Amino acid sequence: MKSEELPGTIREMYEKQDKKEKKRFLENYKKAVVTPGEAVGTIAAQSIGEPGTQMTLRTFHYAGVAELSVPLGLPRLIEIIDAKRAPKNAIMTIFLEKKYSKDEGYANKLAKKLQERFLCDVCKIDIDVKKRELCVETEDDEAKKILQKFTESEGEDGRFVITEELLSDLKKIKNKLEKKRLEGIKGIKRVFVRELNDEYVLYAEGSNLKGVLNMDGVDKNRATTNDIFQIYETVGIEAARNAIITEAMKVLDEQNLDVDIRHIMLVADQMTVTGTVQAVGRTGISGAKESVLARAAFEETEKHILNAAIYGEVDTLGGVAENIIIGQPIPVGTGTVELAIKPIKAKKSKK
Amino acid sequence: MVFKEQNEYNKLLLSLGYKLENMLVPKHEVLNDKDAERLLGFYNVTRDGLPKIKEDDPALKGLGARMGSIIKITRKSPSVGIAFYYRVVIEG
Repeated sequence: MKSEELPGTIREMYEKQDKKEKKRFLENYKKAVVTPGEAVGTIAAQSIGEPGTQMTLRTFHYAGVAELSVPLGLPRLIEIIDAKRAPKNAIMTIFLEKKYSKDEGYANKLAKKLQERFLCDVCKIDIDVKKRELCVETEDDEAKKILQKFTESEGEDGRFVITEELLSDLKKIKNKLEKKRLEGIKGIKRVFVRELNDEYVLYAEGSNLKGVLNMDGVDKNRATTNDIFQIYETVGIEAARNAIITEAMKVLDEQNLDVDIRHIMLVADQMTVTGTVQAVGRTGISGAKESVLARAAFEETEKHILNAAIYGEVDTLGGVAENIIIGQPIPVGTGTVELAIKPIKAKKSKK
Repeated sequence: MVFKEQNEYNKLLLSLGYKLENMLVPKHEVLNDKDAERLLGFYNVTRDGLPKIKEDDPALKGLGARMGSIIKITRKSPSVGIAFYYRVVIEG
């Protein structure tokens, strides 16, 4: 291998080496490069799958905060790979802007501002069946403001009465009132303030990245969530790829399973090629394969063969699975190389 | 509500060319036509063969990327340091 063949960033590293080291550098680089035609996907699948069998099935771990349980272990890994829309235990880590990062009072104030507070948390809501009345008692000022829109009869010490003819109407109003959000961001259930490396950090149960990023005082650069779909929707596909890698590595590292990060990177790249986050499985990557035979061989055989017949699909036999089915050499390893012979005209014999 | 106003404000910032900043988002650039052709020639691919990115992706806001333009992404990779990745803009 020559130094000219090195990719840009590697070449910069190469140029910095001593003369003696340069030869060794090239040799080591050559060893690290994957040979053309190597079945990297299969290797990645096995490399993630084998440690997966050793994982504890159900582990809940505490990431710095005792009150929050972070799902780790196999269920979480499956959640990541299957690109589930909302993870079971969504958690956000929110850092504060630099000027507030050491201000505990500000952190507590922000935590209170982020946390969802509903009307039913500060009110006592009762239905009087006999009088056909809905009584709401509250001492909260903001709650009073909302209630004033519903009824004009404000009694003493914050007692509101709503009267309706039908009981079902009262029930509807009660449900509506209970769901009214006084303050906070939708989806953030609880917020904790903790100290981490000399600064105050907020941990939130539940996740809403868009809402948190719009808040004042939040470090927009470092706010993260473990909900990959929210990351994809608010900060884009490349960020989602990074999130997949970090989340998957977090799960594997936590159980001391040594999986090379390049396998995870390959999976994450494959999950995001189309510009959206796709699951690994029949709904995502495997279902989007070009070849009919490969799709039929994986899952839902009848559906794919029937559809192929209806729409007249053509199989170009470019992949592995379809070539195994029809008994041809597969395009992997030495199979990727096609041999062409250029016929030479035979010389006429001198006779 | 304060939150609503803030949202409008952020929208305004984005429309003025303010770029999205988050530690998860690597640098996105639009390749000019000359570089794009050179890239396609180097890897011997057509635009269909490149990985895709949607036109309405939040990371593309303020970059002036149009359908069919190629985005160069400078990733910080744990295995090679800095790695380049290319995505072609598709309909969102």
